[in-house]
Amino acid sequence: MADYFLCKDAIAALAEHRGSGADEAIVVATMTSILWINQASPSPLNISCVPLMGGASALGLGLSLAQPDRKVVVLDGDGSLLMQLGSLVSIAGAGPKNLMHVVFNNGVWFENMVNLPVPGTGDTDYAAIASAAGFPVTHRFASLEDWQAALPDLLTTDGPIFVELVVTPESHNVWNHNAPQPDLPEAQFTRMGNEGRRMREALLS
Amino acid sequence: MAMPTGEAVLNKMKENNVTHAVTVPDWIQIGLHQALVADGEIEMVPFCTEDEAITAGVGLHIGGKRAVVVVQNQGLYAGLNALRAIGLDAGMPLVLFIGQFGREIAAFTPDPAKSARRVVRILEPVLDAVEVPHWRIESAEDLGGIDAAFDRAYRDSWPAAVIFGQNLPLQH
Repeated sequence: MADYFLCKDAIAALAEHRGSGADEAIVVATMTSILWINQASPSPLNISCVPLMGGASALGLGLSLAQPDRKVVVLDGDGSLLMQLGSLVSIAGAGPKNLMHVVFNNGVWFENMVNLPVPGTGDTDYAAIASAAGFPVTHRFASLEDWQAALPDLLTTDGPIFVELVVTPESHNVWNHNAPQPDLPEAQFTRMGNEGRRMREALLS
Repeated sequence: MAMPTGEAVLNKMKENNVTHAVTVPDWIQIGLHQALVADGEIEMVPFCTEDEAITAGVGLHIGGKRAVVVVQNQGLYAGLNALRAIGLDAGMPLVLFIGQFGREIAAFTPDPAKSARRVVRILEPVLDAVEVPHWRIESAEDLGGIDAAFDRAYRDSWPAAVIFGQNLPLQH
């Protein structure tokens, strides 16, 4: 078990409870979480919201309205959510019972690449913001154990649910003069469409 | 020639199997908004930003529904990055209804490119720049442009825009 609460461990725990077949949850991931969900739980029901920082919550809302009988989990970042903070109000208004919006509060943009600080005081309480926006169920977890214990109920409880996970940003691969940032792969610009078409086929077949 | 009523536009949406209207409401299309609310068959989902509306519209498509994005020209400008990412780069079908907010009524110019107002004048050039085909609705006779936009969007898996040039009146 990690010394710190890491995004990858939180997602590995989620993968254990994701379900299968008709009960398998759709997962909309963005930024750091894309790598970890596709390692822990590869599936045609995964879609990467990239390059569209801030879009994951609305993409999840659209999917949840279209597929009301299937759980939809959004894996968002704090920096991404801040770009579309109004989406909390939009989701609360639409009220999809099957949507769980998870936000990783790691305090940085470009985790494990450059770790630039997100705006704010460092004490932003995203769960409190979501509650004020009208989410009927909100949680804030700062340990893997608490997240693991809550997961079974969260995935069977009506929502919309908002969960803030206060995690530690990884920093062992931060770019430097000797290890500069790599070129972006072409897949970064095509995967959202390819995964969207794959998901649509899986859902409608 | 009079603009089509909101109800007439709503009927075109139904003919094209629209299930959801995702919107940041538009001044020009108030007649349509009111018709959507009064009718209730197509679910209207309001959003805080046009980025959200565009992105959710594609999410609905992936999930098996059909959405129309109802915004005004300023909203199209605000939502361009979402349209670029999830419409164009992702190659997803999505029809946008865009109102020409600011179009002069008293000094109406048949060609919006001749408008004195930038917010009106640049809409079609912006759509051209991002390679989104578009159809003008300037009178009830132009309603077929809505069918053409849906045909193009779902044939090519690509966004398409319908531009409403003047206020949509209510039938009642």
